[in-house]
Amino acid sequence: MVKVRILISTILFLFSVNSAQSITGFVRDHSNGEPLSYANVFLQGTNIGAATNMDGYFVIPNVSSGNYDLVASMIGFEMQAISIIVVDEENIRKDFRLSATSLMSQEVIVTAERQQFRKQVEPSRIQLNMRDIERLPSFVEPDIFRILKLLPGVQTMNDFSSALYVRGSTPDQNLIMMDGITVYNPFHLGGIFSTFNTDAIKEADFHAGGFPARYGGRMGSILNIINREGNTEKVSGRANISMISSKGMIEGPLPGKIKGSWMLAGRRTYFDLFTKLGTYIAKKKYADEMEGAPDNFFPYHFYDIEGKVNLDLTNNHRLTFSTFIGDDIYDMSFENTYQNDLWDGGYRESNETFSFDWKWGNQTNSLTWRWLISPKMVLKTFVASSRFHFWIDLDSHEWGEMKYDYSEESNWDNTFYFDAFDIVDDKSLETEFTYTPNDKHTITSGFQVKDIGFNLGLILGESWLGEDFATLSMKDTVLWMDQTTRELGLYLQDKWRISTNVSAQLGLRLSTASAHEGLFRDPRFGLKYLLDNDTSIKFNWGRYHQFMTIANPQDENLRFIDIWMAIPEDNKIPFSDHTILGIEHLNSKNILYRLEAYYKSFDNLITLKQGNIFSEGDDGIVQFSPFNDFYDTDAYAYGLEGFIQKKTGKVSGWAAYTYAVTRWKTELHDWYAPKFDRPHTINLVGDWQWTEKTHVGLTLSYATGNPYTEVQGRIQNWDESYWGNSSRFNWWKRNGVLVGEKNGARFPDYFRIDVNFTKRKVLKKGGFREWYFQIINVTNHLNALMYIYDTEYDEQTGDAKGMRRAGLPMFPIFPTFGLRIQF
Amino acid sequence: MRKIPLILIATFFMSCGDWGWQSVESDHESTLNVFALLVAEPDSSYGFVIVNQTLRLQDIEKVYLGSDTVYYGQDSSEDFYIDDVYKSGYDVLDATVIISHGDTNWIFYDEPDSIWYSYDNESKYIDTTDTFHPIPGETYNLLVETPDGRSVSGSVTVPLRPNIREESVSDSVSNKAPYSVAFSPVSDNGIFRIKTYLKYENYSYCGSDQSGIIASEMDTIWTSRVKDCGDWWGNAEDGPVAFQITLESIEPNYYAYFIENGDEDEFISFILGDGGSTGKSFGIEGGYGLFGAISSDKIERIFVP
Repeated sequence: MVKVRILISTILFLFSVNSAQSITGFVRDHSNGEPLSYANVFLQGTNIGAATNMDGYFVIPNVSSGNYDLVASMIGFEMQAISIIVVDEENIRKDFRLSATSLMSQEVIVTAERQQFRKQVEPSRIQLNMRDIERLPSFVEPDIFRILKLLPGVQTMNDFSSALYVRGSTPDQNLIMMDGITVYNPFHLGGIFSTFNTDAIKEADFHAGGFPARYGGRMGSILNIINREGNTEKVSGRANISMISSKGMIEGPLPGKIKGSWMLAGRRTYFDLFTKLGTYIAKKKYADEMEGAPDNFFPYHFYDIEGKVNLDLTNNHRLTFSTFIGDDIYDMSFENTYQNDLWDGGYRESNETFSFDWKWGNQTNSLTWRWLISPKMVLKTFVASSRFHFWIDLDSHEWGEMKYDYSEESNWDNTFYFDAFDIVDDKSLETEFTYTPNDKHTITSGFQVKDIGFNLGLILGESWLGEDFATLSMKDTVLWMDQTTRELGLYLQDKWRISTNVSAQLGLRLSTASAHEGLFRDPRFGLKYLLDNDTSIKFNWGRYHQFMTIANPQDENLRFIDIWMAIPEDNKIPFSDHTILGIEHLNSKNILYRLEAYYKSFDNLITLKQGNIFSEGDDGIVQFSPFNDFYDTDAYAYGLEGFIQKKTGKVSGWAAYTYAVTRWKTELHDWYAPKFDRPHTINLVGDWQWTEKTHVGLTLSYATGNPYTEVQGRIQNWDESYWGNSSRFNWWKRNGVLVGEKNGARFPDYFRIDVNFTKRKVLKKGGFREWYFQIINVTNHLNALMYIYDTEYDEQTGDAKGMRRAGLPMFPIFPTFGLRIQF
Repeated sequence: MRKIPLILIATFFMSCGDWGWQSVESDHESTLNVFALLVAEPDSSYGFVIVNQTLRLQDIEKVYLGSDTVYYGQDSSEDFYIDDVYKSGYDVLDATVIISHGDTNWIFYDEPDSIWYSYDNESKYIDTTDTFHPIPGETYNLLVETPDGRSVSGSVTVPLRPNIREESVSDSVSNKAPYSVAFSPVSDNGIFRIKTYLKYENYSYCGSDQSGIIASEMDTIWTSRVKDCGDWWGNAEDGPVAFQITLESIEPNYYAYFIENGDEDEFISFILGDGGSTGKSFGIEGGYGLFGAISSDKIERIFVP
């Protein structure tokens, strides 16, 4: 009992709240009231300061009484200083509103960046703001995922997909959030674009590994997209017209005396309107040949709408409602009627209707309550729902009647339908409590409850007229999977400044998953040592469990959607251990140099068994079960990343080199490189402010070619005849392809240069108009997505003479342009 | 500024890649691919060996041999067409094929015009002496050699013959009621399967059926129905006359090649179709293919529609 008292007293002493005062407040953008994350607030002439959190809130605890200049600084904004007098037992609340400025000012940036450099303990973390996103070349329009893939340790499989492979982790191992809400399948058009409208984005917070205890349920990385909160000063907005879509964002303060703001953004493609026009013209010109053809051969479009409302109930209570809905839609339908006379005087009349409705998308809603309990305590409670849906609905109906002169009238009426769907329904409740007792500790704790439903189905049905004109019907539920899982997470973390040069971040996350017994422990440990004011060494180790997976074939070249499911009950929960060691240096010109090495081990990983879609049960009935079987997979990944970043001056950007190795092993294949393994990657990203209003951007990407399984020969295999007959032999030859070692060959190296020109004109009434012109793959380099094979024929004799192949290309040279307006 | 477009254009033309078709060769060494099967039926036992080879990518699948004039019609001197004759690049026609049992060897010969046909008329190596009759429970060895030095070998044990308990099946079966087949399993861990056929002058348009794999010794009764062929039953004179039930015992090599691994390709792309395999071999060493065996029991019953 005595020992317990001593332990409690020690803990209270370590985290004691002494009588020194605290300075708190918010840092916001003067032009629109947006909170500024990771702005630095410090007492000039001292080492005492703090960085704002994602809400723009800062706490400087335990300030001794006296006169100070309180300074707020942030990259891209003018520094602001306020004189304050700190009196005993009186906390001070000071809010800042910073004005944007050119990035060419060195003094501001040196101070701001250096503060952040000293305080951030987590390795592998990068924050991107909208300015970073819009300056760089992109495919048609800016996209956050295409920017992220230029960072060290981050890859995509090919130009058509934005799904991220981070340090050996697959896309399902990334936790992707928008305002803290998990988003499943955040892609449009099969992955060419992400679902995030950059006009609505304030910033993106990306952890490539070693992320803290507040994040759980994923083994790879964390990406949290923070949307704008809305302009608290006036109604403003922006619009963007590109070659395939238009998007807009409007924001403003809440009406009247209600304190708060709102933001509404939307985007829609109009490619389907062009194809509809093209089809109309073609049908006019070729009316006979195209009779009965649909009105639009490619009726596809996508849209997204997002909104946010912030309501400041009091100075200490804020409610935030955030919503998003986005869909990809392919909707085709047509109907026809045919009538014709038969040769003997009879007639035939038939009708058909056909509809194909293919839709997939996300819908999220969240309500957050933030309570500043005291200057040192913040409580945030968050309830959210996130739903991903994918369905295909095909209906075909054909009916008619026919009569020959010599026979009775006959009728038919056939219908066929096919429904496939995949629904992920996530409902979450989270609470996070942050306590800053003194300038040495920042304690964060919280819990999360997540109910996730996975529903996957495939239903076929048909009906037809029988002999006696009765309607016969058949309906078969070919596939049905319905799972619900509950995840609970509890975490505690302390960011501890041990001394002037040493900081640590200690955390523990405990989780449970309803379908699996046991408590899953995820310790997280981070250490930072400042060698001097400009140089630091970071070490991080952590364990990361994951309770769901995707059932996508590992060898697919194009990743269209992710099919999510809970880890099957008879499989163990997979986890990964991250070990990261890095050194950083921020020089006097504010250029950041970073070298980081990592090692990741994966345990209990599972990968889908491919090809086993149809299987014959012991009862002889063929079953369709594409997601019923997994390989136990061993895996590891290691790498070395170099990163140099310059944020200020006329020329800004970064250079990144990654050496990365990933290996998998299953019962079928000994250690092999998965499809996304690229040992060497170089990314050069630059933006040159050529004049005050004109920017030139360039990205250069080089990477080792992706591995693939090489076709080495041809073979004839034999199959059994399933239906059999009474002849003696029931075996059929089938020509097949003989392949070599799994992923034993590599495509030619990947290379691409994109350039971007922007020219801005400031408008008289404020705001600006900006034209942008981009060329993707300027050198038109052939980057092979895959090889296709064909028989080669002798041109003269026409005889077959072996095989030939061609590389199916990724993006060719592709110019694109658009207009951006802000008012 | 003016130099920038020129630099880009020059870079473009210097860097244009060749996006067209290219001949492709592989280092793969052509390997023998053999399908050898021993069959022990109640009324006959036989075996055959098909000898193929794998091809490199630059090899020709269909080798042109020449042209043949084919006459047709009433006036054969004028009604003809020229038919191009090809030989499959996969076929190996000069192999030496020997099956042995103890001290006895049988040399199998390539007989292209044999009545032992399958879906594609092809060469098969068969016993031309009519003395090769595989015995259930016995082990046979295979050796295939070619003049260029390639060879494969293998061995297989013919499963013991299973036994249909005839008393379990009524004298006649109908499509209007289920029927049951009971059998006595044998103790060589065979894998069983039941096949049924409606016999109509040696053809079976429908009514064929096949059970799944019966692997458990406890499952010794199989119940099913003759599949409805609708109008086809029609005229009793044209309808089927007999219903044949065959109980097969499959040895592990055959099961592994055709059933367990089936036509599964290892590397699949849902969108663009990309499948292939590293090659299967069961009961064969030094190459690909199968050396398998089946034994069976059969009964016939009268079919009453």
